[in-house]
Parts: sequence; structure tokens; C-alpha cells
Amino acid sequence: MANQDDLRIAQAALSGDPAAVNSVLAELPYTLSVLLSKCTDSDSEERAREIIEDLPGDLMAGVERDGKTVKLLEMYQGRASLRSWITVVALSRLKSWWRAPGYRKRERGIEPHQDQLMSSDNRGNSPDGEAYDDTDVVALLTDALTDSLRSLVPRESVCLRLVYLHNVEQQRLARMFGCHAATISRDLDQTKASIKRRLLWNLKLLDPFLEITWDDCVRLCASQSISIFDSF
Amino acid sequence: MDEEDQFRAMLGFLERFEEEVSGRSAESLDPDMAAKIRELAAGTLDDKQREQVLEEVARSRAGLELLATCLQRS
Repeated sequence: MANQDDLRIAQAALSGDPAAVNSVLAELPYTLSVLLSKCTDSDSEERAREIIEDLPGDLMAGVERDGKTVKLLEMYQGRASLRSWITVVALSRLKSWWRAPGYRKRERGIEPHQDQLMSSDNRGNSPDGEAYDDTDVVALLTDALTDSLRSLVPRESVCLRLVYLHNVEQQRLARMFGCHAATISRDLDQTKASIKRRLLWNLKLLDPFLEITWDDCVRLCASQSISIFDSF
Repeated sequence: MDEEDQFRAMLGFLERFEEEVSGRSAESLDPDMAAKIRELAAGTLDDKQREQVLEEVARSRAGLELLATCLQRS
């Protein structure tokens, strides 16, 4: 993998290696400069700085989920450089904050009913006039979805992909496992519910300001390819 | 889009993305593992063997494809 060194740094930082932690923290000034370059008002600049201040804790200290601590950096898969990945996460947070009704009402004088319309179809505009682009959300979605699938045990992961990627009939799986087809169906239902829950939770962890539903995720997956990581 | 199609879209997206990032690797399957996968599909493995093979299949695109092919022909 092209970003193997960055992946090793991330893993070392997660295990508390001081040099690796410093390497991760050393990426933040660059990320801040990217965020500030997108800001056109002082509130946004302040928000950008707050986002950067929050990142070390979110990345390496983690938050509680189901009785265990989950760290944002665990979601880094080495698909992009660590710098790009952190920047995408931070920029997504800033863009989500821009899309929030509070910011738009204050900065742009938009009426509440217009807010709701814009929120519902996810087509806000950032202060610099750049149209909101789904690709940044898709980049986060990929990581969140990958992590959700990794949380499955092998049997769950294999059954899910056999049925929904390879169109294998559940009856054939039942024969392979020596069980009733209803058992396979019930297990798949549980697996899908677990993925939905974990995916949305992961997205919230990556970007606490992002308002996204399961249906939004499906829509993005059905229509998108990834390009955002190439931007940095 | 019903729930089945939603999951097809999700998993298909991830497959496309993995291919985009890493390219479709010429992953070759160990002959012993291929034989184990055929036994898995036939339902002739005991619980422990089945779990071991499933673990391998979960990590291997070629393994999953072989298992799918075997099951569709069974």
C-alpha cells in the first residue's frame, strides 16, 4: 500500500508512541492552513481553529462507545496520506458547520424555511461560493463503511457479501451451514442492522456536525466515485 | 430502493472503490485453500474447519468469488 509508512505512524500513535503522536500532531498546522484558506469571515476562522484544537483528542484519546473507547485515528486505513485524510476530516467538519442553519442564518440572512429546504437536499454553499460537493462526504463514508464491515465476524461478512454482491441464494448458504434458511435470513437481518448502526455512528465520530441519514449514505454509494483525497 | 438493493449499492460501492485504489490484483488462491473452499461449499467441513476457512475467505476476494461460484453451481 502506498501509504504504509503513514499507516504505521497512525498505529504507533494509537498505541501511545510519543514520536508517532508528534508526527500526527505535526500534520495539524497544514490542515489548519487549508481550512483557513477556505474561510472568508472571522467566525469561520474561529471555528476552523476550534476544529483543529479538538482533533488531537478525537484522533488519539477517543470517545466511549458500547463500553469501550473508540479513537478516530482507528478509522484511517492508509488509502490516502495521513495529511490528506486528516485534512478531509477537518474540512468536512467545517463544511458541515457552514451548512448548519445557525451559520447560514447569521451570515447570509437566510429565512428558516429556506434553511430546511437546503438541509433536506444537502445542497448548501460554503462562504466562498463554492457549491457543496458530496465527494468529501463520500471519502468519509468509505472509511466509515469499511470500519463497519471490519467489525463483523467472518461468517457475517462472508454471508453478507455472498448474498448481496454475488447473489447467492440464502437457501444455498443454509445448506452449506447445515441450518434452516430462516436462520440465515435472521442472521443477515441482524448483520444489516449492526452495519447501519455502526456506519452512522462512525460518520458522527468522523464529523460530529454532519447531518446524514442511512438513505443519504445509500444515495451517495449508488452514485459516487472517490476523488476528494486527490485534492490535497 | 428496498433494503436488499441498498446493501447491494453499499457493498458494490466499496468493491468499486477498492478496485479504484488498489487495482484488481492478480490474487492467486492456494490450491489447498481452493480445495477447502469447495469442501466448505459442499457442507462437508466440521464447525472448526468451517470457521477457519471462513476467516480466510473473509480476507480474500478470490476466495469469496470461488465460494460464490461453487455455491451457485451446487
